[in-house]
Amino acid sequence: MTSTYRVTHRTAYEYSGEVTTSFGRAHLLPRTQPDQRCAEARVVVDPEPDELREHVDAFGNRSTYFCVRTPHRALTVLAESTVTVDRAVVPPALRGWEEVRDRKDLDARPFALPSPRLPAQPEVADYAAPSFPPGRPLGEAAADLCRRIHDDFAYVTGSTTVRSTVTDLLTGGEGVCQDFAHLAVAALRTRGLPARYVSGYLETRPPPGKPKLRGVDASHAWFSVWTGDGWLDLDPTNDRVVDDSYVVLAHGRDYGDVPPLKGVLFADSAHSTMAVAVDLERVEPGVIG
Amino acid sequence: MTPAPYDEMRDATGAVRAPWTGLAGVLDGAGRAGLRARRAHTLRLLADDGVAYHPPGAETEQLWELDPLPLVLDGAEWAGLERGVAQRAELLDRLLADLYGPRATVTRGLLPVEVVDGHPGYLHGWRRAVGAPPRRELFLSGVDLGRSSDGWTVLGDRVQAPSGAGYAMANRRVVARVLSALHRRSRIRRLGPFFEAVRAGLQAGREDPRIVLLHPGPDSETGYEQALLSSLLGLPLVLGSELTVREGRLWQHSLGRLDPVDVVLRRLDADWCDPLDLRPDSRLGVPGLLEVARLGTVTVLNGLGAGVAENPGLLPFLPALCRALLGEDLLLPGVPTWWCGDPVSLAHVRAHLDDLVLTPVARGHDPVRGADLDSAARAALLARIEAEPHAWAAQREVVLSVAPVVTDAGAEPRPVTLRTFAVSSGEGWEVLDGGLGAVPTAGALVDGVTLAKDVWVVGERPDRTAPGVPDETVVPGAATTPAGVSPRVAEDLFWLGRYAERAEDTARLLRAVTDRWADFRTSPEPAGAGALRALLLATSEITRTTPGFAAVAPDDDPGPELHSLLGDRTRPGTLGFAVHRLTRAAQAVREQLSTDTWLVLGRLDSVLQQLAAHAELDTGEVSDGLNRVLEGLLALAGIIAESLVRDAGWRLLDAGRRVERAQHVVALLAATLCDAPRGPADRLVVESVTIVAESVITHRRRNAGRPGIAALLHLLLADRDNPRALAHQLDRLADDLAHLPGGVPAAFDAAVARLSGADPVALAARDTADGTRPALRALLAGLGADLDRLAEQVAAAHFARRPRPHAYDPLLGAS
Repeated sequence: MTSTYRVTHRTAYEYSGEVTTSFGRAHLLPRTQPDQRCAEARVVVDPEPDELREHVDAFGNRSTYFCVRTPHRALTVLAESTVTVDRAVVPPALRGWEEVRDRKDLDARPFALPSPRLPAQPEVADYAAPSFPPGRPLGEAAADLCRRIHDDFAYVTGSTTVRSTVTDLLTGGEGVCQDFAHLAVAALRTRGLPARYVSGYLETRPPPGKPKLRGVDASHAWFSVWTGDGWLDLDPTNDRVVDDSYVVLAHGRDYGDVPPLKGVLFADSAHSTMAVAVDLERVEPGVIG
Repeated sequence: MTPAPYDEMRDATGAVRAPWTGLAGVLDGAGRAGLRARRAHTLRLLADDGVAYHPPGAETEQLWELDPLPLVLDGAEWAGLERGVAQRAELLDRLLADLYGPRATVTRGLLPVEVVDGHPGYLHGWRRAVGAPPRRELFLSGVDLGRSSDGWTVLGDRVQAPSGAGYAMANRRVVARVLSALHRRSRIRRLGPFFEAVRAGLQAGREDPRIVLLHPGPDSETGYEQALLSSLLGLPLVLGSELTVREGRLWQHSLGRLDPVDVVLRRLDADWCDPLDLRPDSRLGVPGLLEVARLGTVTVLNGLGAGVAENPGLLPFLPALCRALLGEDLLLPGVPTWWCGDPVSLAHVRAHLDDLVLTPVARGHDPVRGADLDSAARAALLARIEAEPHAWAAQREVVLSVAPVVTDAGAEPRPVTLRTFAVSSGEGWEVLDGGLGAVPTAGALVDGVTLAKDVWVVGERPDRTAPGVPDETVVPGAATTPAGVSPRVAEDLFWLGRYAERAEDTARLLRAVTDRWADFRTSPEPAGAGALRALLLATSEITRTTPGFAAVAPDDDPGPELHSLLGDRTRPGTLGFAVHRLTRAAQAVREQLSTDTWLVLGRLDSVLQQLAAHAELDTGEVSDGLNRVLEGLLALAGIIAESLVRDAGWRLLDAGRRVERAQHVVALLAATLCDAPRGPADRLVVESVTIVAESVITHRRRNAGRPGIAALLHLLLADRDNPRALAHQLDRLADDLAHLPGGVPAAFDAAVARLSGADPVALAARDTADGTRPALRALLAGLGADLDRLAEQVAAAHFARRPRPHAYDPLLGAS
């Protein structure tokens, strides 16, 4: 099934004082991969940056560097892209999870290692255990883990920050998509299974009969697990298989590899407010899966 | 059973090995007292040279610890070691080039991917684009070696930002003097050519490149060594804040301009090098450095991803990697190592825990000796390892060879290790002919501060015959100071000038007060009492330590406050504070200064410590001590005047001194003459003022018989020929400012105008009603404000404070 979206993602910062220089790193342009094509995409920064450069990073993501040297009190980073998603129904992952673990497929293996934000932790191993009885097919185990995270934790906007850890989620019981994805990735790795953190978007649909409002979409995150034949993407926030209502931006070992936007700025004071608006607009009628 | 350690000096029969005969002779001849004398001599020379080390977390640096006895190695044996060290450097460079490129060693199964991706030193952001040509990854490599009964063994590789080559040179300079006769007659290979090779390697293949030495700051662990390297290599020492990325490349801030940088030799661990793409909390790095280094517009050495080659888990794989990458057998065996990520190795580790040292592969985690653990601790450790087996390695402990070390009991055999260095000179690898010897603390597994040893490789090099400059005469100094002064160095030099002058002014003031106090004690009379009191109150004003003596009742002992003003280095305004800050400022610009500076500063510190140690003040001793402090400060002024190149940095140093001296004259006159008492005490106060202002002789000669206030004011304010006068300071400042970029600060012109309108006779006039000198007070208040503003304007113009960097929070995923 194919869907084409016009994606706009605008991040606006306002500062209490003058900022002389801003350096930024963005992962805001959708990667190209077998089930996703990106026709056109650009990052526009205001004030106009002195430098803006893009490269493909070690994970195959599109990474943008920019530097603004015009003194400013506000900074806007606008990412615009047109992306076509063609996600076939994923075949069920029937291999037993131990078999996938023991295959040690070279491309996937690094993703079974702990990563900077997801160190090996016994409490995560304990949390993962019930989903992985011996011999259970990997697809079933991963779906179970996805469902449990969805059921066990409350989705509360603002309950955590970008620096929150999986331990914060396990003890606090609430979090956002990033925390749920992190827990799933860390849990799979405690079983020796390769897993990735995925950053992207999910199309939201208005209530029946209502027009879609602008800016209501948002950045999203989920996880991806190696099946022995490919990667299976699951969304623990909504307990869904990732289909063509999702757009992938980037993936990595954890959030630290793929923040949508981060930076360093030079200013005497750096109190700031930030506003984000994301829109996923269907430009062609697609079949809703 | 533990095998007996190899004895470096004696063979199995107890006979002295050939290269050691000279040193053995010294040991036999010296006796215990002689050895103690050598050790004392070593300490003195280290202090004189200011060789220091800053333990992590400590407030101040401490003296480097060095054994007077070198580790002696035979030249023929060295040749084998040298080949091995060079081969290892080549191997690791090729391995790194592969790991950040095609990763064929991983895909071909020569190296488990977990050894690479599972090590924090592996930087994904350092991967080259597909098809991009390999770049140099390893430039300077350190290899830690120990000699077991089986021969030399690699204990570990230091490739992140290896330290120690500079200390090796510092060791050599000291030991060459302590054992001068033996040093002269032994054919010891020189260390100097290695540093020439480093320079050549940094320049290789580039047309007149600009090279900088990026360091974490003068207070970092090896701040001394970084400054020494900067001098030896003739490279500017820069902080991350002195560099900036723009237009796709790296630039260095110099006074008033930006210079493009081609090569960065880094002494900063990669993680800290770039707050944009690496650690966001780093204040030491340069935002965008990874970006431009990846683009290749600047070469960063060692490569930012080099740290992964320090993984001890690599050791078991190196023999096969060496055959695959170089087509040769690995020459230097590594210490027997089991990487726990391999199930067979992990089983071995579990079975032999008592015989092994367990090491997390990431740096910064302490190793554990299996035999030291009780059963609960063993179980806990094994659980940790099994949760993350790739993150652990186990190694057999090497029984290190022993060499004589001077202890309280004489020369005793102690275990030794050797850090060797290789550098890519552009024409292959050059190995330092010597190294950093170390005597590990008994029982310790972690390296840290240990006792260092010089390493002598004895015997001519077959391929290098040209005689060069002996190492000990290669002195770092102003001659190598590179062009361009960074805003940070400018600021430190300015403050060096200010604190040097402040220390001198304070010492003179305290000496005059002490002498007046001593006079009064021997012949108490009302005039003396009045003058002493006036001077004490003035001292508190001038040093800005009020209330100070005002809080001491006239009949009470001023001794404790005077004691504090001498030695309390934590209290601003005291002599101790000024000298402490002076030393700090000097350490911060160590690479700009002559080595004689440390001789002087070291002595100053010890005199002040002696003064501070006395609980009871003896005016004679204080006066004596202050004379010695002044001697030191005058020697320092001499070094500054006679040994430093008159570049922009020197101009700022001098400007600092002039501003400070001008402020001192103003403060001295304001505190003593404006509200001066009439009568006999007045004469004594004026006499002290003249002494403090170092103008007694001139004043007497010029104004014989007419010691009037007007004449004194002329001498100290307006006389351009008096080097202590305010007018003279302004002349010097004008000259200094003319040699610096940017215009003359407005406050300078204001001060000149104010002073030129002043008439000494009018200034000396007293108010008929209360006896004060209002005109003088008004003038001095105006001048004081001008000078304060001048200092601020110099700072604003040249120290170019950039706003502070802040990492802004990455965007939070909102759903």
